[in-house]
Amino acid sequence: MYSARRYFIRIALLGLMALLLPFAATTASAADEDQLNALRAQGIVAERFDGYVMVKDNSTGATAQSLVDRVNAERRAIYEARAKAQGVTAADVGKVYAGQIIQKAPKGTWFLNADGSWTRK
Amino acid sequence: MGSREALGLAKEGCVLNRSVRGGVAALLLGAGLAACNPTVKVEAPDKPIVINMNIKIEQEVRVKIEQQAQEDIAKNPDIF
Repeated sequence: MYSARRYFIRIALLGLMALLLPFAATTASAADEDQLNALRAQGIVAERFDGYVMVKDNSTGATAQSLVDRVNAERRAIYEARAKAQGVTAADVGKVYAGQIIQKAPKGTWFLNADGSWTRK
Repeated sequence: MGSREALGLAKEGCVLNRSVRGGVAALLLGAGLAACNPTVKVEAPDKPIVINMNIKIEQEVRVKIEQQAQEDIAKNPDIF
C-alpha cells in the first residue's frame, strides 16, 4: 500500500518533468532570440562579415558580451561541423553564413564589412 | 581453258585481295594517324575543362552551404 503510493508519486513527478522540460527549453531560446534581436536592433551587438557577432556599443557592459560569447561559441560549432562535411574551412563557411544572417537580422543591425567599414540595415 | 579461266579468276581474286589488303593497311594507317591526331587535339582543351569542373564544384559547395545556412538560421533563431 505504502510502496504503491510512492510508486505513483514517482510516476507523477516524472510525468510533470516530461511536460515542463520542452516548455522550459522553448522559453529559454525564445528569450535569447528576443535578446539578440533587441541588442542588434539597438545597435549594441553587431554582425560581422565572418559570420560572428561582436559588441559594438559597450554601454550595456557584460550582459551583451556574455550573449555574444555564447552565440559565437554555438555558431563556431555549427560552422566547424558544416566545414567538415563539405571539405572547406570553417572561416569560409562563416563568411557564407554572414550573407544569410544579415538578411534575417532585424532593422537597425550594424554590419562590419571585410574592409572595416560599417553598414547599418 | 576452264582451268586458265579459273586461274585468271584466281589471279583477279589475288589482285582484289591485294587491293583489299592495301586498303585495309591504308585504313589502319589512316585510323592510326587519325587516332593519333585527336589525342593531341583532345589534350589541349583538357586543362580548361578540368579548371571549369573545379569552379563548378566550388559553386556547388557554396550553394550547398547557403542552403544549409538558411536551414540552420531557421532552426536556431536564438543564435542567428
